[in-house]
Amino acid sequence: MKRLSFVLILVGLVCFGGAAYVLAQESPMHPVFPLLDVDGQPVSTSGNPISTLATCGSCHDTEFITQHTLHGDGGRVAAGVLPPNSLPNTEVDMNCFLCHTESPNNAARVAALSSGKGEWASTATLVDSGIVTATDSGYSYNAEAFDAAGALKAVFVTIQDPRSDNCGACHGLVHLDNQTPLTIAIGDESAWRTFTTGQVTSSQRISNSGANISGRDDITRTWDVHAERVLNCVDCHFSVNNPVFTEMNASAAPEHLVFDPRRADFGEYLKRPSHEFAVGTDVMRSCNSCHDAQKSHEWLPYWDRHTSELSCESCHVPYLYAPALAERDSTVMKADGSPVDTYRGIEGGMNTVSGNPVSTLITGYQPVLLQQKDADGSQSLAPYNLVTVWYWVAGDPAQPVSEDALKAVYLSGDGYAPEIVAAFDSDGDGQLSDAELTLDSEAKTALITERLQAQGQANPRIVGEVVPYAIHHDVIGGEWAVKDCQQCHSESSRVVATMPLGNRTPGGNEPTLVSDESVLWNGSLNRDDAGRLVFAPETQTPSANLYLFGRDSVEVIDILGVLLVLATSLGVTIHAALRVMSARKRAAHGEPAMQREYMYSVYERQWHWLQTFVIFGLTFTGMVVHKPELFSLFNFAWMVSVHNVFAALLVINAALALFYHLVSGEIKQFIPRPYGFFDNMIEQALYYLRGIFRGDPHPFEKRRDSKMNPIQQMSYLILLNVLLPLQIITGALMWGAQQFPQISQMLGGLPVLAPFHTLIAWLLVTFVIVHVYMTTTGHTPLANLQAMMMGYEDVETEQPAEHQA
Amino acid sequence: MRSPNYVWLAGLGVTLILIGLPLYLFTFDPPVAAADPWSNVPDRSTAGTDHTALIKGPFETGSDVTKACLSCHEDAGEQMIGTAHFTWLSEPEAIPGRDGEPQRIGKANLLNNFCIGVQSNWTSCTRCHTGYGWTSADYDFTKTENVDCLACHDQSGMYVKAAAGQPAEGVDLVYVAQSVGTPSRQNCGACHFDGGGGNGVKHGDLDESLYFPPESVDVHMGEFDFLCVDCHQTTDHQIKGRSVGVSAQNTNGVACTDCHDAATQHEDSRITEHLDTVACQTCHIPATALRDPTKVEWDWSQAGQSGRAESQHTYLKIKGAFIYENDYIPQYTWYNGTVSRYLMGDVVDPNVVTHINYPQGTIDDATALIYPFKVHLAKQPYDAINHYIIPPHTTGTDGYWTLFDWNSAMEKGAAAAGLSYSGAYGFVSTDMYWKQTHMVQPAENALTCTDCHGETGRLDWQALGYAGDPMTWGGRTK
Repeated sequence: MKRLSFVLILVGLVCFGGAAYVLAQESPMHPVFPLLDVDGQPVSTSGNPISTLATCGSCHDTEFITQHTLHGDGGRVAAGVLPPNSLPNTEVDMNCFLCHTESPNNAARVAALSSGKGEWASTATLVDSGIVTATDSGYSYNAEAFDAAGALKAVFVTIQDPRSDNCGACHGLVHLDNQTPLTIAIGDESAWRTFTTGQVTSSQRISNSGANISGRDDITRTWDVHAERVLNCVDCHFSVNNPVFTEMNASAAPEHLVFDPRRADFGEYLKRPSHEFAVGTDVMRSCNSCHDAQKSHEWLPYWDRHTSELSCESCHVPYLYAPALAERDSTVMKADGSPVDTYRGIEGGMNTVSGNPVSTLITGYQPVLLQQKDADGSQSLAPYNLVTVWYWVAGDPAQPVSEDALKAVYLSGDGYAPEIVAAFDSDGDGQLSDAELTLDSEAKTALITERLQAQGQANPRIVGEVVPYAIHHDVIGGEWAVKDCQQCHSESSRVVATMPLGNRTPGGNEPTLVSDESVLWNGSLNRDDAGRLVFAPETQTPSANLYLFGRDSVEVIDILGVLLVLATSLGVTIHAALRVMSARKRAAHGEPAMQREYMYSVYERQWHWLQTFVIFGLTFTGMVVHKPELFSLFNFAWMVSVHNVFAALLVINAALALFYHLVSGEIKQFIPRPYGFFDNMIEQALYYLRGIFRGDPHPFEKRRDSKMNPIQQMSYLILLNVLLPLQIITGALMWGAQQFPQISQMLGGLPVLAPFHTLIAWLLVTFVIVHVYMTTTGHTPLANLQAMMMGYEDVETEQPAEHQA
Repeated sequence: MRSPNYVWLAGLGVTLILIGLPLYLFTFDPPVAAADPWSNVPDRSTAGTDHTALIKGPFETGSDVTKACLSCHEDAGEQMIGTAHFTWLSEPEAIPGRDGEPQRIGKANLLNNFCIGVQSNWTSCTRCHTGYGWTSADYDFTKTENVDCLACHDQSGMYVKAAAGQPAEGVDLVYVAQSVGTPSRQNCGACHFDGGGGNGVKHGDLDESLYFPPESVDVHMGEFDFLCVDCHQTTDHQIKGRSVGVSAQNTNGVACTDCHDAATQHEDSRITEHLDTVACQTCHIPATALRDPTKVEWDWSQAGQSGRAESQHTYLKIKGAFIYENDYIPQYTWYNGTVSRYLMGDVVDPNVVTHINYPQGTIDDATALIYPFKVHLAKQPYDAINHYIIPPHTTGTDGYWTLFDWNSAMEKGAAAAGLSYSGAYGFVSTDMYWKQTHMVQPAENALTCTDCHGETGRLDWQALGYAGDPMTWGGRTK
């Protein structure tokens, strides 16, 4: 029998084809119940509007629920209309059906609200569910949906947990069906989150969507990885007393307690479910509540540094593939009373096919990174869209001019007031296009000001604000996230990528950055090369103290460094040229007596050459890290780690060498004898300036136990006691920005340490040039080099008699 | 004294080691050698032998061509007459759910729920036989000159087979024979893409869109220009591969894992975990019949209605009513590689759907995986008193397609199949399962989590034997 029913099910599946995948609508557990009106009478007999408080309240504590919710206005209007408008203040019940039935009729609900039938809003939500029918005069209940006792029949009880598309009905575009291509209604304000930021919640691959997205076929990622991985909105935005998710008083728990099983049981929760949903990182699950991200980011060097400065979204929401509002100009009004909106992320303007902007080419946009203030007081970069809003205010203190007042200014009867057409219709076609609807002249501004004043608006003036809209959804997995170091660590860094703002300047005003307590404006308004207004983030602002390797540098230091290296190179080149010329002029005079001496021990040569390789390596990798664009052949992250390994080698090698010199006493060679030291230095300097061209012998003999001349001693004194230690310390502290950030921060952080490190690097490079050149000043150009390689050097045996200081 | 040069070189070596070793240890990630799926794909960079100069003709019949072929390829004839492509029978195999000796089954002696049976309809059906002249049960399967070499080896595109598999009128046999080479998609497709009497009728995952498929239809043939025989590799004319439509056991099959190392292929361990329960095809073939529709229902009982509007995809008087589907979302069921099989004479219960072949395996069968299938439903004629399905005689001047007389068709069909006909016919519901294994999509088009899991998933978990969605209810334990 079991087998038979299985067969029948399969046959059923086949017969009904795709439709078989839509699961049964009937609630698997919710009991049947009567729909009650506000007096507690069944609506099936009274015909009155449904009262959700009475209906649901017969089992659930609706009083508690309405006191514990942010959705208590019945989802009256989409949130956050810009500019703040006065909204009709209708007292309506909290609308349970909107979130707890599978196919609520939101359009009918909105229609009921906007036509002033707020008390019918809950009833209207059930239109087309088989329970309620909209009629010319209002709403009627279908008798066949109710049993004799007035309770809904079981098949009509479709009560369910909220699905993502329930939330999406008001909050933004949610598309859960992978088989039906997703489309985007550009400018649909009812999908608020999509409208303002371009965030789309769907498990569908973008390449399978029906939106006209540039390069769509290659964008095989899904819109949102959490939707793809079967998460619902309420998995993160859970009810704060849902016992599955919530631990009460977690912060008060003693440290040894990992899990506190004492919590509300399901019965209690179902009776009194809090409808406050977790939002914000203090209550809600943040990325870290579910992800131990460090485990999946082993490839990412400087993990702590990156995660303390960047939110997860900075890399995991790199691009939005839907248009978003860029500018809303409410200083003017379209014929239907709406403001003039412009969008980012579309190209070639809005193309509509029978009113539907399906053929508009969507290019998407890259969000701007702003310093977001986190709940714990820390701050990190996070992606935002910036919307410039323009609107009229009047009075003192300033109040936004209401939509109705503005309508009276612009509109008259079914169209625009004649004065408005006369002033705005620049092409004379009798119509006002979006482009014409702009306060781009003093005359137009004056006209509107005057008409507002005529309405009794005192001192009307235009306000322009740049408003940040945070982006936390549309998250994608690692494969598509920003992973290439140079996306940030380069001249064209994402971190400082500018975001173009609107092109409008109503009344000749410039917008201001709105003060928003969750955002620190780490940048300023600017004009780009094309003269467009942009928001330009910066790395070093009072709110952000960043030094981005590969992007940031102190120009003066680099210019000085280049000049120093060039001048030094020029100097040694001239010196070398003069030596060559003078040597040619000079008759070959007798070689001084020579003696082969064992100059450098094996260890001395070993540590010297190791240091040579390491220093060249450090210089090169340092340059790559400093200016990755100039060395795009090399992998940035690899160069950073090579630099670190080389640095460790340098330190170890230097420490061992120091130990050797101390123990063997060779250290004495590096310490100048105070007596006559300056005289000796001058003597040596004069030799380089004069004697060397005359073929004079060296003023100081080079011996196994005294290899250094006074100038060398002085140079090494500075090199080994000042430059090298400073370079090691600044380098270690920069590395320490990851390992011991407090110490690095105390010393000014990367913005101080890094340029200092760069400066010393330039000086060291200069030293290397001189050092290498100086090796050619032995009795033959290669003698010193040879000695450092083979250990033996031919040195002059005696102090020449004719030598003069 | 040691040579100073020697010391210098040693020093250089030590220095390089001192630098290289830490670099290697601290900055390199040793590359993981991935298995190369191409290593199992035949190299076809060298062209085959040009036969233009080798074959002279003239040829009177197809068999004349075969004799010419066999004069050089001496073993080919003997090889071919032993293959299922020639015998239309398997090697003896056990059939799940049946006792008794293993038996040979195949197109020659089985029923399906499309055109139903070969017996009594040989002349028409054997157009797709790799041989010449099979018109009756008395066909001589031992004569090597009966083999049709050209069906598979013609590369001119000018070879067409007609009744009884003979070359069609007007085929230039010399020209065709001179063109022979490695079987192309056209050779295989001519029969396999059109199985069941037309484009895409039978398989769902095989149709004429695969002659020149884009990558979005089949990644192997579209993006990488595979031939059928690149996967269905052939030794001595034995072609690898099997269909659940004509065989019961999982022998001689081609598997994705012949080339792909599924266990290391997926970066996400959760996907790798799925390999214990889900076949590669399940995720990588999200839908079939992508360009051309496939037949999902065939109602023979409506055949013979005069005056009804006819269309290839809805109704034909000779065949009855059809339903075709495009972008077919497969049915999913456990499958351990074997199928049950309806054999000639098996008694049917007219009140239930009879399985012509049914995938074996349940959630408790550790060797079974969830596989995608196309299911073809039919109402087909049966003996209403003896309760068995009879392959009606449909073709030819005395067949149902000409006379529209079921009793006559059943009687002749029963006789050819060795059954007796009671004189009363009816129609019985049957289904047939076709494993979906072609039209593999590029990885980025594979199914994602929500296609199966969550509220919008396509799997019926409870029908598969789970308590509920295994994501939240747990998977099967082995």
